[in-house]
Amino acid sequence: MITGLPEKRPSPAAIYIVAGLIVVCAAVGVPWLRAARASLTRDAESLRVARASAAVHLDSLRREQAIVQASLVLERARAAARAEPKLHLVIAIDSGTVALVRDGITLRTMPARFRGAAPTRGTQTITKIVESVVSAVAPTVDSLGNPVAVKAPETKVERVTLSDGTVIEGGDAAAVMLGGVEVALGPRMILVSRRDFAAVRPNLTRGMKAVMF
Amino acid sequence: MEPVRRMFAAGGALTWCAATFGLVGLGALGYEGQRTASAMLARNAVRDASANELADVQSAKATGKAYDDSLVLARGQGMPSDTVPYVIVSLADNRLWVRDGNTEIFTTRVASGSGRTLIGAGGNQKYRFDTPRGKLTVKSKETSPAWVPPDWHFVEQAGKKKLGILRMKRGQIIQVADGVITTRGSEVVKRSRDGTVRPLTASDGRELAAGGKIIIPPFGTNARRYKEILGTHRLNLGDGYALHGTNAPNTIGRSVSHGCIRLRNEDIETMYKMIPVGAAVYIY
Repeated sequence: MITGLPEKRPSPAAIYIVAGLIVVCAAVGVPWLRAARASLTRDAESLRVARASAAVHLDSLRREQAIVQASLVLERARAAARAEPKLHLVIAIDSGTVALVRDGITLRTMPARFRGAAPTRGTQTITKIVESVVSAVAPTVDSLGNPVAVKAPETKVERVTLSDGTVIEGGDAAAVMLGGVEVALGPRMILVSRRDFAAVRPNLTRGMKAVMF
Repeated sequence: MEPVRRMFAAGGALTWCAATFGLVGLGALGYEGQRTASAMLARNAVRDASANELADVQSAKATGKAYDDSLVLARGQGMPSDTVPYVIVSLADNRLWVRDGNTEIFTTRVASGSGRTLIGAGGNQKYRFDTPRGKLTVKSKETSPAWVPPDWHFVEQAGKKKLGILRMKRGQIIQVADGVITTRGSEVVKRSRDGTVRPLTASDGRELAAGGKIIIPPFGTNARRYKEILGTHRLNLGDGYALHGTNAPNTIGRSVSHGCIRLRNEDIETMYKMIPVGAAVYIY
């Protein structure tokens, strides 16, 4: 509408106010937001560090747990062996010993050497007790080259066989003292000294348990 | 939009400048706000993951503790009681050990059963001098024990002296050159022709004999109680077997006994003090 009055121009004050408010908000807000972000970043970093350390700790705990779990299985087998009230043999592969045990009491511990295929852990029974006298015949030749059989002195051999085929035998004490596991062909064999074997042999009967772990 | 345009037209460059500042400020706020929001989201994600990790650690710790407890429990299972000492005897080594729990508190050499067999006259009786293997129990304890020799002792002595055997019953009268041998109460006595009565005693190697035969006196008589044979103390294991001292210490360390386990007198005295009635004796 044309009034003839000079046109009233709108004041830009509103723009100044709005712009001023925004500038003030930005002046306060931006540093605050930056500080908050820095704090959040630090927080996240420390959480990451804590998480990494927790992960390492968790790994180590799980490893320990696996070890303890394995020990527990072993220890439970040992406890079961100990708790067996009847006379029995306890064969500890890792410590290289054979023990005569009753009521949880170890009557005799014997160093042992394992030979042949790897022994199987678990409960076996004595299936066979063999006592025999053997004479080794060593073929040789005389001064003219004729074959001559030389009869070696008689040797008393005593051995027991377990249900998994493992043979326990008395042998040369020095060989037993070498200890350990000797991987070789032939039957699975546990060698204890003749003296030890002679001491426990009269106590061994068919059907007696032999716990191997 | 018209009023705004007119406002800019009225304000000129200053308005444009203010508006620019306003827009820049708004942009800065938006930009920083967005970045801060992203940082917050990232932090929250790490915090959640970290919380899960820590929960896993706690759970692993709890499981580990449970395993540790189970391990301790398993290690203790089936362990020998540490309250009552027990005895282990190795017949092959002729050695004895006293243990309390897993601790060895005493060890010494012993003499054990010879393993030989004695065949009585006529071959109808066999005695095997083995120490029994297995678990026995201390039934009773004695000081200054007397030995009541079993029949095999007389069979053995008769064999050594090439004499016969005469098993005497209570009240039985055995004729001898100068009178009779008979029993009176708990004594074996000799009644001479003149009426005098004299109690007879016997000892190891000096048994009663009459008419070319060794007399086996009835149980419970003085002639069947030998003193000082078994040393100073005895721990009875039942069925006639015992841990006892000896008057022949040179036999210790050998398999020479008739089945009992012999110790030196000082050793059996120690054992007497150490071992209560009811203690287990493992012989292998």
